[in-house]
Amino acid sequence: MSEPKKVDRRKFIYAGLGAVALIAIGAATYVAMNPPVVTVTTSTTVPTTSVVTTTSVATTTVPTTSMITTTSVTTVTTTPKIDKLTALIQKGGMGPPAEIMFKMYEKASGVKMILDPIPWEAQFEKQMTEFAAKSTTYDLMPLQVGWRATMGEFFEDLAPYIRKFGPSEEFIKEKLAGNWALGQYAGIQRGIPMRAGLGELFYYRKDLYEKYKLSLPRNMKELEENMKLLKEKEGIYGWCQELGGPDNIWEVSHGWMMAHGAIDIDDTKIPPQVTPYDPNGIKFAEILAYWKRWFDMGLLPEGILSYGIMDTLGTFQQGKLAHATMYAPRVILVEDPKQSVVAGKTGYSPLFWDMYKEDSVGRRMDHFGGWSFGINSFIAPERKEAAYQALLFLLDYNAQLRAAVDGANVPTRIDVFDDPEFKARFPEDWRNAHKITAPTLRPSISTKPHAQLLKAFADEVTEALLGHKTPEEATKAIWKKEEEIIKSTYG
Amino acid sequence: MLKKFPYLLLLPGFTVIVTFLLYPWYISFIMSFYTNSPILGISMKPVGLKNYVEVLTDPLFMIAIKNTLFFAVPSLMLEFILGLGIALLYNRELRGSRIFRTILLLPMMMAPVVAALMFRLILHTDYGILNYFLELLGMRKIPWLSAPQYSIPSLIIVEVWNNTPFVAFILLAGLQAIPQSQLEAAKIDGANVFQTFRYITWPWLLPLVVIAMLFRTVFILRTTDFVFILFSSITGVGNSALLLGPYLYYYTYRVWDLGFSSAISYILLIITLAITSIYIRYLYREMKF
Repeated sequence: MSEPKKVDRRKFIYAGLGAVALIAIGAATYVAMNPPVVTVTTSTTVPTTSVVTTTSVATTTVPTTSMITTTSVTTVTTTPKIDKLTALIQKGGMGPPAEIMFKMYEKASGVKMILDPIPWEAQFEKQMTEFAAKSTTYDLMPLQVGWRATMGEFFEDLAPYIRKFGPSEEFIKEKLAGNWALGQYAGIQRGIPMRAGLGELFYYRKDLYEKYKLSLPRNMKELEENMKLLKEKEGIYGWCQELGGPDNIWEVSHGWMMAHGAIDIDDTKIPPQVTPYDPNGIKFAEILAYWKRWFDMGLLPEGILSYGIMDTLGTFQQGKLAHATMYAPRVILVEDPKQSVVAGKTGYSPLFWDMYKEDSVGRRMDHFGGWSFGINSFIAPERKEAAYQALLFLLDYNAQLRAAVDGANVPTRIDVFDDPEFKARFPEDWRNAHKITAPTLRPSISTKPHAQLLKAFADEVTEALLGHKTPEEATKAIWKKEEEIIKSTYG
Repeated sequence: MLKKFPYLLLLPGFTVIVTFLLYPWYISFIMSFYTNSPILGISMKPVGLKNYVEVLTDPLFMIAIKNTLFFAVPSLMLEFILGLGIALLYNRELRGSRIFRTILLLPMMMAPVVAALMFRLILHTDYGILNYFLELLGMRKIPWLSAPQYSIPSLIIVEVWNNTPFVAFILLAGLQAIPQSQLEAAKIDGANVFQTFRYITWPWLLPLVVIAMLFRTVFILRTTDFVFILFSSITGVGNSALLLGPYLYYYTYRVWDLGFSSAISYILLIITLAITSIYIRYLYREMKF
């Protein structure tokens, strides 16, 4: 008869501990995924925040709160009350003003705002990844005006919240005007706009204009004359904008096209439609021909086809440019004497304002870009109302003023433009440029096959600027490719 | 129960591999036979081999293949030649060799993004220091980052600078593992430097050459970050810097056609496997001595 096996005590204890650990992990996972459900009858008190505040700079605005009490039978999970919200913001750009506004909300409401900054270059991918995974990591996410078609449907429809908590139609009309459209797609409000601004504001060396008694150009021919003179007299480049990459080429091109009353895609219709080549394409071919000429004449920096935002801004700040077309909020950096040798020497105007009639092919449109914040549609319903309260605060007068003055933001509330503190911070002609273009503002085109359209457009523009195709050939190819892309996407 | 204890210990690691490696592979392989586009609201619509056919007939794919070839081959050759040269030099006990070895580590330790940012400033057409020196020498500025014909050379410069030390250190380890007795015997027998290298050093070094170049090939085929940082876009000027990595990135994270991009990734896998099998099959054959 064989001896019974001896059990090693140490091994037995380790095996036991291992089994217990596995069971504990399994149980914890199960509980986390299936929180216990409790049915209660409750009076729910929903705090609302009024966004109509005083306009005086001297007073500190404290949001007034009114309480709406409802009695309802609700099924709620035994989760803690919503005392914190998470928001994805941008690193730089719209991030600092958003941070200012959300931190102000945190102070006013007691709701902790956890902010996660992501660089602009990775932001679209990051946000789409979150939506594709139906992630609930972020309660609030930004919505860039050009992304409305691609990711708008992942944001909550704000209509029920607007009906319940505001803003009112009157407020929208008087205080926000065209900026309200920044957060809209296909007639549905997906975001509350918090940052606006002309996409291609014309920055020019006002000191040199005064020195040589130049007037603001009203068309490309006059701009060319001014550029040639300033290059000859001052040895500086005529014009620059970021033309590195499809995104930049698309934005710049559309800013110039729209100022001439032309556009390639009508995204107000679903499905979007490519506009007639005559006159829109003909006008863009003309614009492209001028760019190519200026490139060949040495009026543009040689590296312009790889220029990003910082290249154009840096070149202008160093005083090496006579003109640039840049996004409006860059004014703060241009006017910062610590970073810019042209602080106090720069003028601002809408591009080719007061254009000659014969140079325009349609109603003038001023390309404007901006950001809204919206609610992630995948988060729990009980979090959405709390998230909307944070969004509503973005329309608070004082929040917008502080974001503008301290965060280099262009406010979406047009009454902020008249604030003395705002006036002191932003140059008069810059403010004027935004005021006069209020009736002509047109948001960036936004369609579902955005990436493909950008690429097709940018490839052809690059071919023209490199001289591989004539501007006419390139523009015709753009129109053709856009038709094909839209047809293959929408059928 | 105790006999199975080792398997219990393996279980967490196995779970991680299955969860984060095998399962995603399986899902992405299945997805490559479907259209899956969150932007268009299409979820797992079966399309058979359509994605693979479209990839192989996509003009952009051909451009990416061509660009990757023109980028990878010169980069690998330069990395090998320079890496071997540096390794042979460092193998001698010269004064200050320890300091130089540390300096050699620096490019390798630098994150690719940082290296690319640094070279973006160096190679900047208008403000880069390289063009500044060229102008001082009376030469014309070169549009490194803004003309299509210079896109691939710019990428090669950054790639070789960042990764030659990796090859050098692997080969240096190989050189230092060569038995001294064989080298001494060769010397006694009157072999010159070239003969010693050809008949002693090279056979010993060959396995490490294969390993080093295998690693470099696999990583070069995936290069994306250099392109993005150098050119502020994933394609460079026009499509002059569109490599296979950025091509995959474009369809995954810009177009968001996940089925199509899954097909791209499997075609990329097949290409990588084909190249690495060539390495292993033909070069290891030489090792039979």
